[in-house]
Amino acid sequence: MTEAETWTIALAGNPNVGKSTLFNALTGLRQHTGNWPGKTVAVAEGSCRWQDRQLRLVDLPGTYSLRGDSPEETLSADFLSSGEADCVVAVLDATCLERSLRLCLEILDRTDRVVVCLNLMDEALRAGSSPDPEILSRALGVPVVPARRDRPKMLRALLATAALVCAGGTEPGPVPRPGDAVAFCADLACAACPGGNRPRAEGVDWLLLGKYTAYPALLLLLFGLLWLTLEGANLPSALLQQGFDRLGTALGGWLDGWPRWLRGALLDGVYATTARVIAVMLPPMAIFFPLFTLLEDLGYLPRAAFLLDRPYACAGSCGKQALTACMGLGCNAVGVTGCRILGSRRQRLAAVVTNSMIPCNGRFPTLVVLLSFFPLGTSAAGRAAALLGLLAVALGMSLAVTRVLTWLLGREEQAHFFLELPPYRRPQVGRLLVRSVLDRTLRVLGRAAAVAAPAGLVIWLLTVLRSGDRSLLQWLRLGLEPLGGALGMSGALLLAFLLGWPANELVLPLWVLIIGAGTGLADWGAQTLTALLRQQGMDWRMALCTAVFCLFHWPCSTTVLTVRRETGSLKWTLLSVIIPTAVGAGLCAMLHLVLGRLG
Amino acid sequence: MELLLSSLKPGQSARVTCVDPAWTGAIRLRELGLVEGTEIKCQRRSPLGDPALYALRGMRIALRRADCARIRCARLPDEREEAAL
Repeated sequence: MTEAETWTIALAGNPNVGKSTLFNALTGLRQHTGNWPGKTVAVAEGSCRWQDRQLRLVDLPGTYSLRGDSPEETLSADFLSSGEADCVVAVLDATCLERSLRLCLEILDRTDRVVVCLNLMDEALRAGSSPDPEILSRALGVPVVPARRDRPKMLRALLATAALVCAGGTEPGPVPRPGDAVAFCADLACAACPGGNRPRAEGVDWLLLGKYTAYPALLLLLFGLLWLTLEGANLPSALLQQGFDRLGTALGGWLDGWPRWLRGALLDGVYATTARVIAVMLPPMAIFFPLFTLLEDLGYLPRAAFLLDRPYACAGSCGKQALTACMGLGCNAVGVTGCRILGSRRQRLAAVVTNSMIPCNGRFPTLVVLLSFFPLGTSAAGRAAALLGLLAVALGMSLAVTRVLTWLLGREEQAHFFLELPPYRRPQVGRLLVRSVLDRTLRVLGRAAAVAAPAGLVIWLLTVLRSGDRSLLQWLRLGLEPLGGALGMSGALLLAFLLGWPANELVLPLWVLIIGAGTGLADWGAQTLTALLRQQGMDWRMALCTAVFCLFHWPCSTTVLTVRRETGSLKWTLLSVIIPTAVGAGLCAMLHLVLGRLG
Repeated sequence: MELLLSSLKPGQSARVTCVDPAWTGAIRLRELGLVEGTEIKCQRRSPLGDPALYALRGMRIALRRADCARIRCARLPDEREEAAL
């Protein structure tokens, strides 16, 4: 018997109706993102099995309509019209039926091979008003299946119905084509769910959005996030370092008989750099990403965007840019991709260019080491507070650059702003951990480790290749010394920033290699790193300049590639490198001059 | 009593009477369900005064003052006033 042909099932719905959660539950997290032919917008694709058949699941981006105002809408509309999907699952929010129904009508307008999935039924039940699937099914002419996040069995029912539609086993009833869609949806929502259109509960908004408490709460949440990340990362980082030290010694023993150059390349180059990057990065990431995902799942980020809209409006953008900045805290490449949510072109470009000015958490360890040169940096809480201050500086600077960019780009389109505030959702801790560890921590770490190995090799090569009486590395370092000095840093630090282009996490580990202290895998915790920096002549002035340069310099290679993909323009890719670098270099040179004068 | 949505105070409710049809945002708001006849309640303002949070059709959206000046509405009696009647 030949393998039955694969059925394609598309998931479509409003933003934030739990579509991707549903998708991940159906595909069991075996998700990979695929680029659509000719499109730059990524669509998540995955697969699952139904009986003896392979199902291909396509997670379309969440939209409010299919009118084609944004790239996401065009993509969804094109896909649904193309007839490529054997079945479309229209995901409805049971707690906000009316809005979901309007999109559902638009989908029904394009295809009648539809299954309606009434998602978030658990939330609707808790709120005391759950829609009746029977009534909806009769009115829409297609099957309606309820789904809850906490009942996986109901997903089998959804798959079974979708498979039935794929096989052509259902007879779609007359599809409604009302003259006034808004009124039709209002009436239907009322009929299916009496009393269901009550305004959503405000939850703890009185506190988190309150007149006097909102901003202190925002600061406190950020402070807590940073403090837990820094404090919690100390011990595991030290343990990892010890482990890697032992492993390095053992490896050194095994490789004893090998040629000296090969041993050096593998041990001092590849192994040392990779081990350092992992030991420094993994613990803060493993703490930061779950906490950040928790804030996301709770629904706090849109509220932060609401609170920050005013400053962003003054800079000619809108609060949605704050969301992309938040994502940039995790990883700038993700932040740049997130800039799609911005409605107008000039806002999008400004957000893309300024995103790397928000330090990603790969830069946190470097900043923390530099902060230890200041009196405040001696305790974890002090470091977190100082880091928060640096974040504020970064935010202010990105706002200033945004202001200039939006002004230069001119008033090309009328901007209007709306932001939907979702209800607070109870996070699902298990799923949250899996997602933040698998999707974020391991992916970012894998990328950094993958570039750390070749970067270590390159550095090692530069140390052994000689020209005249110095190694190539020493020549490079000497050549950069004047420029590094003018920026208030040193040649070695500038070289580390340059060679650390593949990943920001590499900067300090590479610096250790450059100054030649890395050979022999000595103990290299944060304390000794500080001592090493001091020994190399770093004082608080140089630490300040280095920290500023760490905040504002070229984005890492992954981010640059993402900018290229998202803007599709070489000019804007170059600008996204030049602008932050110019800001950083300018600030550093100024600081160096001023601090030098002060003595 | 007709007024602009932007002058609705937190806690007050109104029924939308007219959304400026010449405005590009009108289409977007229509998709969200903000059309003539929609009941809307101002829930709170941002601590900095702008934007404000509105509840309509079972959802909550933040709108800026400048955009709200494109929307006219008629005041509805407050819940408290209703209870007093």
